[in-house]
Amino acid sequence: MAKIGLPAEMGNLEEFLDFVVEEAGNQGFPPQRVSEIRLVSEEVLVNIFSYAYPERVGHVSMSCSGGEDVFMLEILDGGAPFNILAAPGPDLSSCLSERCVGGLGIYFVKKMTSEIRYVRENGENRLTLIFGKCR
Amino acid sequence: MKIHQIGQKKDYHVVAVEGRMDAVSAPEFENFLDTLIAEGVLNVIVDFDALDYISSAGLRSVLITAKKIQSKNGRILVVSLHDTVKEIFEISGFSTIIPIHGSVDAVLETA
Repeated sequence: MAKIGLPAEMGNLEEFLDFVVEEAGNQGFPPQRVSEIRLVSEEVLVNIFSYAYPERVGHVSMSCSGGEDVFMLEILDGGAPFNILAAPGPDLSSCLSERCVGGLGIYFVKKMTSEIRYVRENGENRLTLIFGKCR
Repeated sequence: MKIHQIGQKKDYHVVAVEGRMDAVSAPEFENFLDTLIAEGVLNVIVDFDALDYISSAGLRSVLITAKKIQSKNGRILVVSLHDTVKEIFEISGFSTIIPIHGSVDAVLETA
């Protein structure tokens, strides 16, 4: 199981995403699907960077594992409780404001991930994203 | 991400974006278009043929830029979307505020 942990800052986004892309590629996932995994990871991470730690710079760790047809990503942060599964979706018929575009990010996560699990424990958000080779 | 100035074609200033528009590179796109707008460019075609990836941060930058141009009665069009980028634009419903076309030539033919 590969792992990465860094401060939850935008300056670290590319390093996190490079990690995910490399690991998903190593699992033999096709480029298009790796790109979707990158997108989902970005949306989750940027959300954490923006909202999880309002008072301080916190920490995020990612670990991944997988088999031939499955890639599993676990994202752990010690910030404010946030359950993406409970977040409301955007109104796609009238998404014209900039704030609404953030809601789109959550929508992409749900659409492109095969299975999502969330648990809040020990003051941490533990988000598990499971990707099949096809959506 | 790289932004290429393709130049003037008929009424339009054409710009091509290559690579990925994510939370880190999206501000660069916004700043680049801001400079064009400040120079008086009001009709823009953004060619996304070489754009492999866009996140909600990228969409936000495109939206902000479009609203700036439209508030000055300018026009912005997006062309050559494909694969996941195309799907993301379609899901977001952006075609209601930013016209989307198949190619630069397709726009110029009807211009």
